[in-house]
Amino acid sequence: MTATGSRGRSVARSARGPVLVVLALVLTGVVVASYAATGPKGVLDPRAYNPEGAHAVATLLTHRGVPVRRVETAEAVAGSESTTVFVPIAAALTSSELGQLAGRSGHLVVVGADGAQVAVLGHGLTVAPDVGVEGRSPACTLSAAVAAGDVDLGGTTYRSTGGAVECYATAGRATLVQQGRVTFLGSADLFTNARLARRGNAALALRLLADGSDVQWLLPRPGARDVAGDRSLNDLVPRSLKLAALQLLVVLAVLALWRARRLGAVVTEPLPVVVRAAEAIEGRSRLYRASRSRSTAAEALRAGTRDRLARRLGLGPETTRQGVVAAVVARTGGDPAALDSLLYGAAPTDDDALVVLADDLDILILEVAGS
Amino acid sequence: MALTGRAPLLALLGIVPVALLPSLWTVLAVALLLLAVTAADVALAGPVSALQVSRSGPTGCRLGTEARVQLSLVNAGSRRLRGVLRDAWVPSAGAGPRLHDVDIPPGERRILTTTLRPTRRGDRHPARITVRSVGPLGVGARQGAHVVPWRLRVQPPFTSRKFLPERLSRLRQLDGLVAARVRGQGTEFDTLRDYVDGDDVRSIDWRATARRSEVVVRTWRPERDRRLLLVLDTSRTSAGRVGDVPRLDAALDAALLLTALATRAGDRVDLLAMDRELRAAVQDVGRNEVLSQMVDAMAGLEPALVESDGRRLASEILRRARRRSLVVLFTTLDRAALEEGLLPSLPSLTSRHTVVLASVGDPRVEEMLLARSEVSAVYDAAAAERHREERRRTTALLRRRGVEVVDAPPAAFAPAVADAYLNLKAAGRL
Repeated sequence: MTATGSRGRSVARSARGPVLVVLALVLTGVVVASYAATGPKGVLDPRAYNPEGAHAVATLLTHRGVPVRRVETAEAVAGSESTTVFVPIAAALTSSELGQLAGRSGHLVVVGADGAQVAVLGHGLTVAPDVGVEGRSPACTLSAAVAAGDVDLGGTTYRSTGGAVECYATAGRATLVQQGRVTFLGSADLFTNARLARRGNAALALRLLADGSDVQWLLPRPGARDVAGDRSLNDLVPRSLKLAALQLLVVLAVLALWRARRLGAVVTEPLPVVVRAAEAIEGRSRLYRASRSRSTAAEALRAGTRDRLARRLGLGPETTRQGVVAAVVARTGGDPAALDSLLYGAAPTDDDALVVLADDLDILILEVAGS
Repeated sequence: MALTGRAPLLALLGIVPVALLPSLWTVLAVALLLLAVTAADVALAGPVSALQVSRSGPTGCRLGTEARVQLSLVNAGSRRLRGVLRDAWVPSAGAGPRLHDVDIPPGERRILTTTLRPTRRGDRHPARITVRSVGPLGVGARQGAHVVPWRLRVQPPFTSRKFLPERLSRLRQLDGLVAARVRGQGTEFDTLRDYVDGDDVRSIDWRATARRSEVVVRTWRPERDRRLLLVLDTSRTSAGRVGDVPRLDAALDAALLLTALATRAGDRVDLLAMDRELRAAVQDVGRNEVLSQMVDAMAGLEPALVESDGRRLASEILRRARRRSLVVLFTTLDRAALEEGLLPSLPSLTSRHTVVLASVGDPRVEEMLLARSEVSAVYDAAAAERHREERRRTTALLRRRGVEVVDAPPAAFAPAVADAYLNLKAAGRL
């Protein structure tokens, strides 16, 4: 027998290296995957419950009788004179789309509009450098802002040359500007689930959005429409990730080279023949069975039993059939005719009869031995 | 050339620069750097060809024991040699450990020990010694091989040695018994001594008595300096495995016990192993040497898948045993093999020698005889019964021709053969 214990240990020892490398690969994959999983999904979505989502403000609006409908493309916005269109991420739309929206809606609320977009929507408005998001006071006459008081605002700032209401400003740069039916906001943090309950965030959000009959929440889903032509998965995967995968292929190749080199050839040797000595007998047994040679099998069993009886009863090899039966009857009693048919009778007709015969012969031997 | 586990780790570290500078050039540069480091490491590794390897240690051991073969390594190169070494042997040599760690500064010598636990009889040879010499950084390695031949002769285990003391004490009893016996066949003249009351008057030596005033009797002792020829049949029937060992191994064991016993009894033992051709022979060896020579000759014996050649066997026996001998045939009571092979030439053997045929019985046959668990078992029993019947007939036939037959299962085989010898000796039939 080989020592399997020590062989198991040595296998474990030699496998330690590859296992460690594979573990490292899996860990890297998990880290990359967990970072990749935190995409823009759910951010400022009126159906999202996560801290960056906006389910809370949507619910409040619905309770006030202002239904919120999430739309994914500018074309899908069903505009009317009393509709408020909310664009929480202005960068997702082109400036021309925003211009059309302004024409089709009662009130347009845009967050984080860039220079081009501002130029299309407003008059005499320019975009100024960003500021941090923090609590700011209104310092203006806009009723919504006055009612809300301090809110969390920041992000894009706007400058106006007149004709616009500027609120929550720092050094002349406003983070909320209302001009006609269009309201510009610097950042959308105050609409998120996480911040809605703070300061006057909720009040400002509701007053800005709930002034119409309904709200069309325009939040384009990535891939919902083609902004810059078709983008396949290949385009969306970052380049660094692709190169990292390439490097992993190199690692795999090196790993294969390392494991592929054996420390010397496999040693072979001729093995001796191993035949079980009883195999021929077993083969003969199967032949008997396959050819249903019950008579041969029964005769072999009977001959063996007769031999054993003769030895035990001290009978010579030339003892006749009658002599054997008589000697056995003299020892055990019993019916001579039955004994004769057991020891010399006809061949059994089926396998069951053969088994019964074998058992009867055994019993006879035991009887003779016991008496 | 070979790599170590550090090479893929290094390649894995290359992900950091690739992630920081995501460009194809970075991947290429990392690969080139890896290649350069590995190449430099391989170039700086100690050369394997500068290693001088030699072996020492035992050239033989008994099956079941272990042998420690030493490997002497001298680093004749100018660089340190660090790495692993595999001393490969054939699988049945049971060599261990699988790998040796080596670290040899230039000009120094190290001794490694490979422990062999052979699993089979016969000659065991080593394969190549493969050395992987790792560079100073442990990234790349050189690999090379040396061939240092050796031969470990694995001898039969002689497990029946434990039966020897008992048989020897029987032998001494035999000596004592026979000393008082009258002259008969198988005894020889020992000494003359004074007559004491109770001595057989027929043993009085009148000629010696006439020379002296006392009555002198002859004493006798059992015959000595008889000859034994042990004949091992290595043909196909000896390959059959009974229990865990082939028939041949059981026969070898019994032959060794018989040799040990007969040598102590003052008889001379020769050995002959053959099937179609002669496989091994030990003849005319001194008493002190015979057992070790026998064991050595038996080490390499393997059953051959050929039919034995009875006529050739008989003529070989007759050629080798010129004086009357006890011929012990280790073969099988297989009717077909015997009738075609040995039986026709048996008269020429029995007329000149005392012949004992020793056959290893199979306990499995006894098991099959008693099995009744299902229909197939009953057929098995019938086949076994038939086999036994044939064996019995063959035994009877051989006994009629004057051949002594020993038929015993492997566990009792060696003592049974030894007892047959002692009985023959006691009866003075050698």
